[in-house]
Amino acid sequence: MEQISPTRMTLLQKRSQLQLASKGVDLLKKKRDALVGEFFALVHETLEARKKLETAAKDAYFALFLAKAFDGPETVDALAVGMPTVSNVSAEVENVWGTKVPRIFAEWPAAGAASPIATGGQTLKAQEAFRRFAEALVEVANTETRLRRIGEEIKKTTRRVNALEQVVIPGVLHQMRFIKLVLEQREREDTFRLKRIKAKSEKEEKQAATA
Amino acid sequence: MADDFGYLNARVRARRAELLAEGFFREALSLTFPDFLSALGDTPYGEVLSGDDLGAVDRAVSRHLQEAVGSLPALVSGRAREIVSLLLARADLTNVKAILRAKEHGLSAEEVRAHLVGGTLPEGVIQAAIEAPDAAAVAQALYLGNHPLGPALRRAIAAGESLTQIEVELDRAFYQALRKQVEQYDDQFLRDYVALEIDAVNLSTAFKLAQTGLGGEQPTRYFVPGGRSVDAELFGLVATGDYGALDRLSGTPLEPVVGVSDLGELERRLRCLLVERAHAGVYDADGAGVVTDFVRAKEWEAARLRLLARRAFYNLPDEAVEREVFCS
Repeated sequence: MEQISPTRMTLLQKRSQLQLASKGVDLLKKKRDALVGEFFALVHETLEARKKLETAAKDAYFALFLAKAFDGPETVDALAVGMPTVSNVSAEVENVWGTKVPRIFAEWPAAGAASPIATGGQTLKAQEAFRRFAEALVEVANTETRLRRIGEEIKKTTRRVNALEQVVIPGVLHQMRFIKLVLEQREREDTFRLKRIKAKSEKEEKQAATA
Repeated sequence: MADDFGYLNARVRARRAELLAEGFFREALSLTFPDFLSALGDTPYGEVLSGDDLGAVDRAVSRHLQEAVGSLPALVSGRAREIVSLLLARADLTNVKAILRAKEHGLSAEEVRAHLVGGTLPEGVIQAAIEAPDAAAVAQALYLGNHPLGPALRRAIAAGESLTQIEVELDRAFYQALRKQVEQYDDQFLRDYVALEIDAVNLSTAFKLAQTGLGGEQPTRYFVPGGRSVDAELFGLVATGDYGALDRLSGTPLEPVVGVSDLGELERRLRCLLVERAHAGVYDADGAGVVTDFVRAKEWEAARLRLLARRAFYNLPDEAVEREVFCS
């Protein structure tokens, strides 16, 4: 245990520390409950986003296979050269119960970067399907990052609550008990000392009177 | 060297024997990739198949296609040679567009070559186009090589068009040149077939415009004249999403596409229709029908093999692949 001076002042300080820690535990528990609520709401959204991503990936690759089969792999590869992929990407940080969560926004170029006349329909469909795939990918990145950050924050908050409840508060209580014991001991010693002094002075007075 | 179709048709009939039977495709629909490779190795593709991955199949299919159809013009001379070259000229259009795109994005000569397919352009013209410093120099190389795309490319560049707009102009110029050239020959089958192909291209373009949302902006600038069943008015209606207008095609060779509203389904039906129409040319003993049928049959075969290879390699769903690989 750290060295503490067992004084009334320290006891008062420890008492206010205990109040602060208890209040902190209450607040952290409320924060954790709110984060858990947010987490479970996001789980559904994340699963949906994942499912959408899987479907988009399947559609995109099937469209690409058809394009490569019917238009020829060389032609599709040639068309892909210099095809604009993403026109603008931006990110902003949201605050979810004190947790900083990044959110990415991507804009995609409009279709039409290839002549629609001799470019195979499957190739154009593949281009569109891959754009949807990329959109789904960004959505999954956003929801899963959010979920991971909130999950980490729940873990961190739980660790803090546990630390307060199991280490800090018991420690402060123990210190308070120690200070109280010391103070009581001192009080008893003072009383005993005073009694001895009183008894001694009474004895001296009695001896003086007899003499 | 013969300048009529008698000799060429005899040679093509001999090559037809190498076309894969329907049974091969049915069987391939349930094969694993190693089994597919093994089955393909037992066909004429086996001679050019080296490697055991998907890329090896693609390379073998491209090489076999080039050997089977790319060598046809060299078998004849005169008018017959011009017509056969015409049937293979679509690859020239693809190659010119690939070269222009590569120029725009600074690809090396080796990278450009990896994107080229057969075609009829002489090696000298291709080399000059690849080494050209810009699009205008590519146009110059084509112009000097007397290729019909040369003047169209020069016009588009002079108009200061974007690469996409240049491609649109090239596509239109290609089909117009095809139609003009076919009109010069006294070959009814070829005229009918090219007209049907232009109709198919227009229908497909209109669907693409409708489904990419570009249909609203002067759709008729994408229209290629020369078809018989699809006029500019019908093209404009379909391009703006009025698929009901397809009812007008009832009673025409394009009747099978009436009622379609999906681009994939439209292309599937058009593909089968064109293969079927080309196949009718097999009885055109003295004309371009036999060779037209052979070229289209080989292209169809190549597409089916590429897709079946991907089914086996990536374990794609059988039903979806079956729908694309068989016409019925």
